[in-house]
Amino acid sequence: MYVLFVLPAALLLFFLYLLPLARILMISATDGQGFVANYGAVLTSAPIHRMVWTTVEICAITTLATLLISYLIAYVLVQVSERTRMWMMLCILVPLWVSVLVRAFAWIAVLNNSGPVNGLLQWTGLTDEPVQLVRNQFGVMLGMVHYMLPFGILPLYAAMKGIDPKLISAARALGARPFTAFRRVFLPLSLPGLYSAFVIVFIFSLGFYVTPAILGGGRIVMIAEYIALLISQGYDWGIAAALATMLLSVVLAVVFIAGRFADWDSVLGGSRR
Amino acid sequence: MTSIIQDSLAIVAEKVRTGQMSRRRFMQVLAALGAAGALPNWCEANAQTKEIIFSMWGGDAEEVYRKAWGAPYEEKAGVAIQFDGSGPTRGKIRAMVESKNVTWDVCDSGLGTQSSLGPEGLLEPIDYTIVDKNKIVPGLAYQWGATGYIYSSVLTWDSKAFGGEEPKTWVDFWDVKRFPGKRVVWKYMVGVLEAALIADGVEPSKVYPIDMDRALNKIKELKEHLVLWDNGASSQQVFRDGEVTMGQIWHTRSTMLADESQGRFKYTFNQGIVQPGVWVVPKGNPAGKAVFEFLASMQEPEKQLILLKELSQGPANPETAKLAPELASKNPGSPENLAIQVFQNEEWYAKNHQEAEKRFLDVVSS
Repeated sequence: MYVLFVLPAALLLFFLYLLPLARILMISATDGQGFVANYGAVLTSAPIHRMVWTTVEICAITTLATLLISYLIAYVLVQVSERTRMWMMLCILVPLWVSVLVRAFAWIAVLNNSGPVNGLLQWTGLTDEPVQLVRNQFGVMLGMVHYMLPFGILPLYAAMKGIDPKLISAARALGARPFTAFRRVFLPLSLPGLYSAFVIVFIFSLGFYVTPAILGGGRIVMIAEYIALLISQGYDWGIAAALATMLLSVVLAVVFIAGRFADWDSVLGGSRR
Repeated sequence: MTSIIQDSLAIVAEKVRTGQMSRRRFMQVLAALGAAGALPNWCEANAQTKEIIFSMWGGDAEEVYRKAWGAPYEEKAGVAIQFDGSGPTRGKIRAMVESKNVTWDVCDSGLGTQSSLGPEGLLEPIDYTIVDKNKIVPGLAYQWGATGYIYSSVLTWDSKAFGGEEPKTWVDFWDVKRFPGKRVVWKYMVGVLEAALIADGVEPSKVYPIDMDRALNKIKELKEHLVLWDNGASSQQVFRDGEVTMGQIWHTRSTMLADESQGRFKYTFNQGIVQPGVWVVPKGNPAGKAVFEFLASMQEPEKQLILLKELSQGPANPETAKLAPELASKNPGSPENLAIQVFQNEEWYAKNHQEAEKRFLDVVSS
C-alpha cells in the first residue's frame, strides 16, 4: 500500500536521475578511446591534476573557514533571547534566496580595485595601492564561504539546540572552568552536528561553478567548470564523464565515511529524544 | 562560449532600452541580423517546409527577436522561424548530429566550429548554388560555413591610465612597466595566441602556423596581469569598472566603449585579429536545403549595411561598404583596416583549435 505513495517519486528519480547517471557511466567507459584511456587520462593528465588540486585546496580552506564561523554563530544563536534569535535567523536565511550570480557580482562591485572597500582602505591610509580582493583565489573563497554559511550554521544550530544546558551547569557545579566545561561537555556533544555540517559544506563546495568562474576572473578553474568546458566545447566527453564519475565517487565516499558520525536526525528536523 | 551575434543582439536591445535607437530601427537591425527579408520565391520552393530553427545565443534579445521577427514572417511566408537561444556550442552540435536527433537548421558560430566539425562530417556543406559566393569577401566562403559578417579582436585601452602614453601594438600590451594595470582577454583563446607571438617579435604576417609553445610561454609572462572575459557585456563592464586598463576585446564592444565614454576608452585596428562570423548547418537539419535560401537572403547589402551602421559589424558582402564609404574607418573589413590586421587562419584552426584552447586555459589557470 505505502509502496504506491513512494512509487511516483521513485519512478521520477529512476528515469530523470539514475538513468542519465548510468549513461554518464557508460560514456566514461565507452567514449573516445574507452574506459582505460579515459580514466587513465584523468589520473595522469597534469592539467587535470592541477585543477583537482586547486579544487581540493579551495574546498578545504572554504570548509574550514565556514565551519569555524558557523560554529561561532550557531553557538551565539542558542545563547541569545528568542527575539534576537529571530532577527539573526532572518539575516542568515535571507541571503539564501538571493541568486548566486547576483551575489558574485555584488562582491565584485564591493571589492574591486575602485570599489568602496578599496576606497576606504586607501582613504584611511592602510594601503597606498588598491588591494586585489576579487578576481583571484581569495575572492573565490570569500564568495564560497559567504554562500555556504547558512548550510554550516543550520545543522550546527540544530545539534546545539539539542544539548541540555543543565549538563553545562552540572559541569560548572562540579568545579569545571567555563572553557573546560565547553571543551569536555559541550564540544563533544556538538560533534555530530559538526560532522553533518562538514559533509554538507564540503560536498557543496566541491561542485561550485558560478562563483569561481566570476570571482576567479576566469583564471581559477575548479573541477565542475572544467567538466562543463570539456562537454560544451566538445573536447573529450569520455574524459569529462570519467572525471564526473570520479567526483561522484569522492562525494559518495565522503557521505558514507563522514556521514556515519553525523547527526542527520536533528539536521533533517527529526529528533531522537 | 558566447558569440558575436548574441552580443550584437544584446547591444541593440540595450540601445532601445536607453532610447538610443528607435523600435523601428531595432526591427530593421533584427531583420538584418537574421536575414529576415521576405523571400517571395522562398515558400514556393519549399512548400513542405513548415519551420526553420535558428540556433542563437539567447539573452534578452531572444524574446524580442521572436516577437519582432518570427511572428511577422510566419504570417507572410507561412514558414515559422523558431529561435533556440540555448547556444549552439560545438559540444551540443556534436551531440545532436551523433544521436541523429537534429533540431537546428542554422547555427550562429565561428570559424573554429566550421573547421573542426566540418571535416568530421557533422555539418552540411554550404550549397553555393543558392548562397552566392560573390557576395562574400573572397576567401571567406568556407566549405561548411558561409560568412555573414566580420569582426575583430582589437587592442583597447583606457586613455586615462597611462598619463598620455598610448599603446599601439601587442608589444605594448605585454609591457606592464610602461602600461601598468590588468588586461582582459577572451577566455576561449582566439586572438590571444596571435597577439602573444607578435609581442614576442613575430611578424604579423608570419604568425601562422602558430608556434604554440612559444605563444604560451609568452602568455605565462603576462599571466598574473590577466583577467578573462567570457561574454561581450562583461568585457565592456571590466573597463567601465576600472578593473582593467587594457584588453583584447571584440571591436563591436570597443566602439561602444569609445562612444559611451566620449573617447576615454580607445581602440586600434592595428594588429587586430580579424575573424569571420560563420553560419553553419548541422548535418541532417530538419528543414533540409530550404535553409540555404534563408542564408542567401542574409547577403543583401541593404541589410548588412544596417549592421555596419548600428554595430560596426563588418559586412561580408563587399558591395555593402560601397553604400556608406564614410563608415570605412569603423569597418574591420575595409581594405585599409584589413591591411594592418591579421586574418584568422582557417587551416591552422581546423587542426589545432581545441588543443590550443585547452592548453591556453591550462596555462592561464595554473
